[in-house]
Amino acid sequence: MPERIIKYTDAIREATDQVMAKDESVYVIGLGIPQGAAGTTNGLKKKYPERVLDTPTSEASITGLAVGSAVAGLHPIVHHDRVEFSLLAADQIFTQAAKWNYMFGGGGPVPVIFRIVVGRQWGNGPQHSQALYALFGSVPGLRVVIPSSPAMAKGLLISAARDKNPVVIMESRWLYGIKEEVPAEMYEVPLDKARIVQEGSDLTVVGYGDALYTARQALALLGEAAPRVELIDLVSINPIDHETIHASIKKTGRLLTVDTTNGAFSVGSEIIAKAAQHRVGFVDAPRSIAAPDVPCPTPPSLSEHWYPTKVTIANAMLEMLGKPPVDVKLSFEELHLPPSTTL
Amino acid sequence: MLGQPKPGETIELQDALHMFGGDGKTIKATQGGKFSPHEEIPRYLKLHKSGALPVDDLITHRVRLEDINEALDLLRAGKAARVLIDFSPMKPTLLESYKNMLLLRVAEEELVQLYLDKKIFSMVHFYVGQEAVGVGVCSQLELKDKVLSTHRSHGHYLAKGGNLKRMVCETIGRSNGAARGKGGSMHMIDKSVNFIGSTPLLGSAIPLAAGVAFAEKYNNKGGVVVGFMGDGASEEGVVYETYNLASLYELPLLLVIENNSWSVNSNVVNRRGKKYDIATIVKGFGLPYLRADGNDFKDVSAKAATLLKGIRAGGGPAVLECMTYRHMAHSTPLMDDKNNLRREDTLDRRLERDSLKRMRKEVLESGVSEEWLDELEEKTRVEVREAIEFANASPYPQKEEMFTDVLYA
Repeated sequence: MPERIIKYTDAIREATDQVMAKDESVYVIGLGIPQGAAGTTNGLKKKYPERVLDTPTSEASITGLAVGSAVAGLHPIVHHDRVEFSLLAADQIFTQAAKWNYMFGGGGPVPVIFRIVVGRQWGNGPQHSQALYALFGSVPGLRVVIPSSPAMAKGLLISAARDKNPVVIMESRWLYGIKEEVPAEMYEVPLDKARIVQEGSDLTVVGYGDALYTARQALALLGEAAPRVELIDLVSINPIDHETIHASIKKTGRLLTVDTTNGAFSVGSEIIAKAAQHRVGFVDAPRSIAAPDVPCPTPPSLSEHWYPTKVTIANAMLEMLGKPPVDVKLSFEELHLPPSTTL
Repeated sequence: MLGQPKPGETIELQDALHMFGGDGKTIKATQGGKFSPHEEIPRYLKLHKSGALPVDDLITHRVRLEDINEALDLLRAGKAARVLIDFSPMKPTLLESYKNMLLLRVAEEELVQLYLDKKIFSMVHFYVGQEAVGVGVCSQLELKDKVLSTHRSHGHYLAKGGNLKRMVCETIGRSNGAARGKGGSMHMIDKSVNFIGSTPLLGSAIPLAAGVAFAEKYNNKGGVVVGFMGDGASEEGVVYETYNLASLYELPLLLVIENNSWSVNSNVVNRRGKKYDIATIVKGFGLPYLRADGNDFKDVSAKAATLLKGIRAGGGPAVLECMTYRHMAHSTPLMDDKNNLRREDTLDRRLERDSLKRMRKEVLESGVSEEWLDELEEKTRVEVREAIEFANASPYPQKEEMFTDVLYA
């Protein structure tokens, strides 16, 4: 079996191609989709000319059209290139798609996939780099998943295409260039289960998307000196798999959550609150790492202090286990350019 | 080999003697006969259901009853295997449409009483006065055509053939309701008659309707989709977006604006610039537009028919605006002259423009007697009251149902 190391974007493209080949009801819609959408839909227009649609710059109506077509039995993949644009379609996502089956007492499936690109990219500033995970996570009736690697991106998209509900896939643009071995065949990843990336006995670290990636980089940075961390990829934030997290904390007694967006009302806060309410047996106070509660600034001199880095995370891990911090200076490239690491 | 040759057709079999020369192989013609319906039909149905008898594949054409001669021509020409005659699209008569409008009116009058008796704990937006629009448009639809509607949904639901008992049950929150009692008055659905759903956020149903039309076209089903909205909703940005989107994808979509001139308690003159002209706007998007007297069934149905003809012929979406009049307040059965919201609105003025009164006159002129119509109204009222009794005796959703249907299982 030859190794297939491919990029995050290629994994999305491959999954899309495979589900389209398998299921005629799947189509892709979004501004600029035929032109490739950062490599995630390259070449699909040629292969499926009627099923890959460019659109007017009208997020609300194209999202509504997709939801309506899902109600009528199709399985659209809607692409919003920035989460901020998807907010123009908030009514259709939160109030129509998410409520449809419930408000009609089991009115029927609404199999629509919203691929929403979120978060970090250099120079994007306050209005182009939000993630708003908590917003999507808080609305019942949506499934919300966040792929942390190329293999996860492929498996989650395939699962979403086989699900009967609205699934929001929040893709971290920061991870678009990372690479990983990805199976060629179609495979599924559960849409509602957290994944233990690495087992450990002393500290539970929970992350998702680029936060999970950065936590992995923190462990790599520490190498042999790293504490025995149980690293959990949350995968889904709606629902959150508290069971897996609580089982891990029972083992380790310590919890560190990592968000790469504002800390207020964050996914990390939600995890810590639930764990506290369930008296899972902390030996020490849980801790969260997140961005400060201010908008993300544009210039590198400010944004480098906004995002948690692998050094921040590594030192939090060490501190929680009573170990001295490391002193590592990150280069400009490490701080500001998206990674192209192979996992 | 399977099939039915046209008269006079011959079959040539090359090397027949060689192929059928030995092993007891024979060629046999068969024809119908010796048929026991009570045994055979259930057997065929069962085979069809199991997929062993895919007779649907034999259907090469579908024609409406009025086009039956075309079907016979196709058969004579040997161009068709089986032609399905569709009986459904017969247009309702004027009297049938009157009955439908009357049902809408009486049903709501009875709901008013339930509301005043504090039996309804759901927002109710009454359709009284606007019946000619819903019934007029739906009179031109076929069963396969689909409808999406708004918060003011009872009328559209009944006009499309939705079930009366399920409507009443839903309005008073019983588990026999259209949405099993979980939606309430604003959330009507009846998939058996292709009433796809109603959703109260202004303008939201319009791109959804475009999506249903998109699926209709994508799957080549041949139906038309109607999206109803009020004049308030027609001012939402997403509606303007949808004019363009539906035009871009050439969707089989009829958008109906029911202009009752009020958005809650704001009059249209206070909401639009002096030169606002919806006809120019819609035409600017490249869509056909017609304006009908929404209190006149005949005008609504005729103009709907004109636009639907173009849509069915593949001409893309169109907009029908119906100028009508809402008798009651935005929500609740209040008359606005009593609560000072629409002071110029009086009972006299309401009756002067009343669509049902006007329709009754038309029906009388067609030769039906006053007595017969009075009797019809009485019968309709009995039917509605029976539905209310049925609803009152129906169970409430159980507590556990709060947690079901969040996701589709």
